[in-house]
Amino acid sequence: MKKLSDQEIIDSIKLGNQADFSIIVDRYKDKAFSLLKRMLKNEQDAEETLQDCFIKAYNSLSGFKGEAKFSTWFYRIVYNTALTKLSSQKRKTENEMSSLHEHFDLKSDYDYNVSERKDMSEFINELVNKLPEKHSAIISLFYLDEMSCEEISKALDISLSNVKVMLHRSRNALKDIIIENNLVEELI
Amino acid sequence: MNLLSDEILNKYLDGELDKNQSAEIEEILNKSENDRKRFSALKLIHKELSLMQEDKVSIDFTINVMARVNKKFALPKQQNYFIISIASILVLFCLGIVVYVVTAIVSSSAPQTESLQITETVNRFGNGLILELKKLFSGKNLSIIGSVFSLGILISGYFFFEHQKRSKINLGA
Repeated sequence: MKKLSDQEIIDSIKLGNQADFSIIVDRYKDKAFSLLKRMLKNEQDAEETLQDCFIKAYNSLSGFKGEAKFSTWFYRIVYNTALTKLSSQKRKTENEMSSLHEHFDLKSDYDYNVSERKDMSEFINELVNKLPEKHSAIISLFYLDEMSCEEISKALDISLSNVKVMLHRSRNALKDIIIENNLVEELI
Repeated sequence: MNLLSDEILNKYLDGELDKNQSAEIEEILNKSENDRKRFSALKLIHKELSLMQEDKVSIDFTINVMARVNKKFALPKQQNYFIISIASILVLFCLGIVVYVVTAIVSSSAPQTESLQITETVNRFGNGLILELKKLFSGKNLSIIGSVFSLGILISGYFFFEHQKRSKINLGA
């Protein structure tokens, strides 16, 4: 069976086939949930916020003209809703520049215990969850959604160079932990 | 000592460097064990991140979202139906009054002959209309019509305020 494009589904919803929105929900729910979970650092908050994001997207569908990809448009809703949620929770939300100057130290946050050796992917996953929200959002979009830096830049409304800086900084932080724990030789 | 910066290693990993730059990096990586180790760690991170699995939402997530979508739009639809039916009743009521008045005038007038002048017909029709409306909107009839209209206005008002309230909530959300 032919897989309908996002635009075809949206056109159908706009024509009154409200139930077709469930195809969009099924298509994006897990990826968007991964992004929210990493940003909000809480599974329940992530799921509730994701429901709100889908309702917001449904209500704003008439305003979606198809000039950008649906995924880019939708992830912007998700990202902005997450930032609003974080701000309402009185967590520290930084602007783009402060995020860039942010010096996070994963090493002090995470003590890798060799005796409690975990699965490597689980270990990396835990480290990604400890990254600041904007950095983990970029990692999630780049690796899970396979979005290019240009697409991420459009979706999050962050300049391309800043997206790259945050992506590199996140990878470097993870790399330093790998080196510090002498996991390179062991795992290659 | 690091010969290559983290930035260059990341760019090399992402394939952002040109052929000459890449060749230069490869040469340094062959010579410097420390840089090779750093690059291997970076490559490992990149590989592991690429294999990262999506997190799964609860099984009934889609059902819950669709229930919220349906709930949100079902009520206004019901309201629309109700407003349409109220409006239809009022229109039918007005139409009934008009038909009643016209029938009363026609039945009270004398059979028309060809010689009857048009102005006379219009005059009689006008006078008859005023007379019938006076009759209709006087005494007991007036209070019945007034009650029906008041009821219609009250019901419409209720739904108008409900609609306003809902719009406010939607804007807030």
